[in-house]
Amino acid sequence: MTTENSKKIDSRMDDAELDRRLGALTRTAEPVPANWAAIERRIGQRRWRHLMPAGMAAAAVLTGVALVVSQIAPAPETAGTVARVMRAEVQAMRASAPETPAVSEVNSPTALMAAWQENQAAIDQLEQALDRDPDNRLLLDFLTEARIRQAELARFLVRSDGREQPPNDERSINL
Amino acid sequence: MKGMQTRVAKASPAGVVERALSETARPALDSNPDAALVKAARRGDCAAFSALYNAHSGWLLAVLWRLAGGDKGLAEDWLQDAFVLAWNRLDQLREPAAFRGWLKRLAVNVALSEKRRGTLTRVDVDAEASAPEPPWPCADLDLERAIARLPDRARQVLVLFHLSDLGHAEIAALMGIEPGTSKAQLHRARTLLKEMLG
Repeated sequence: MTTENSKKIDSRMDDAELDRRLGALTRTAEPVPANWAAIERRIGQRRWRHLMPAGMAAAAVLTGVALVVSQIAPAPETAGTVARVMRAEVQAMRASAPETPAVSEVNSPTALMAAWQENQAAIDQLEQALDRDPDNRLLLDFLTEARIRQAELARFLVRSDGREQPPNDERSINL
Repeated sequence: MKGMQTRVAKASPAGVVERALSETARPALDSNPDAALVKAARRGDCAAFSALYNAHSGWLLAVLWRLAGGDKGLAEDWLQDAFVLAWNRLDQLREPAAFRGWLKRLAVNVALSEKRRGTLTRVDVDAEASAPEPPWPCADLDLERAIARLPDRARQVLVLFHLSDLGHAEIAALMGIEPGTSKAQLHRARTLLKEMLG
């Protein structure tokens, strides 16, 4: 080892000294307040962005409900929101119910058969609607009422002179 | 840890810590003040996140300033990016009490990924002229400037090992290098520092 090299090594800081100085370095700084203000602004924007997909998802669900409802019966043109469409649909369905003659008021077997077929068509439509919207309690209520009516119609048909028998439809029996 | 609890309580906005505490969260706060704040921030409590920022931005800015080679503006950009990312990814933090380590890895990733993209080119071009001044009262300016003048890779390893308390395995994972390379870079950094300061 030359004298020059030896001097160079001697003049170097040793590892312990380097470790001491590294260990003594300041570990914290004080960020300027503008940093937090910028972060707050950015996360504020992100928060709204996070809400947007949720809002869009909710809108999609409502649109889907509206479509299902509109397939059951056309929504009034004046209905501006899905809630109004739903209310209008409920009112329309309830308003139409009294127009259906009571089973006891249907006298002739032909009229009974026609009522039975009409009611069966209603049951089919309600079942299709329930397939699209299984949680719709209102549809379920109407289906129950229609099946009860169907059972009553079948009973009156059997009591009539027997010239006409209702079709053997399991759905009208299985209440 | 005691010091940290005191600092958080003082630094946080009035009532934030208390609001962040439900009866069930209180034991968690006793052991780690971050846990309750993280839980509150996850629910969208911006004040709780502000308390986390107050508790952690100081040490993180020091790390980032050194990783940035003394570029204060860049370090502050990284600091903001890291906290915005942390806010967006809070749900991914499995253990709220581990917020500090999680945030550190997130911030280091932000810094290293930008370095990897080559957006910072000023280091070593004119080291003497740049002579960075730390944004804190500095007891050893020569050492700070020597660290800032180190080559990128060597400085990153030295800062992460000595000033961020990370091990070689974790540094290697963060930097995408072998642990042996991390050790070699640390040795190189220390040798260069001893030469510059000797």
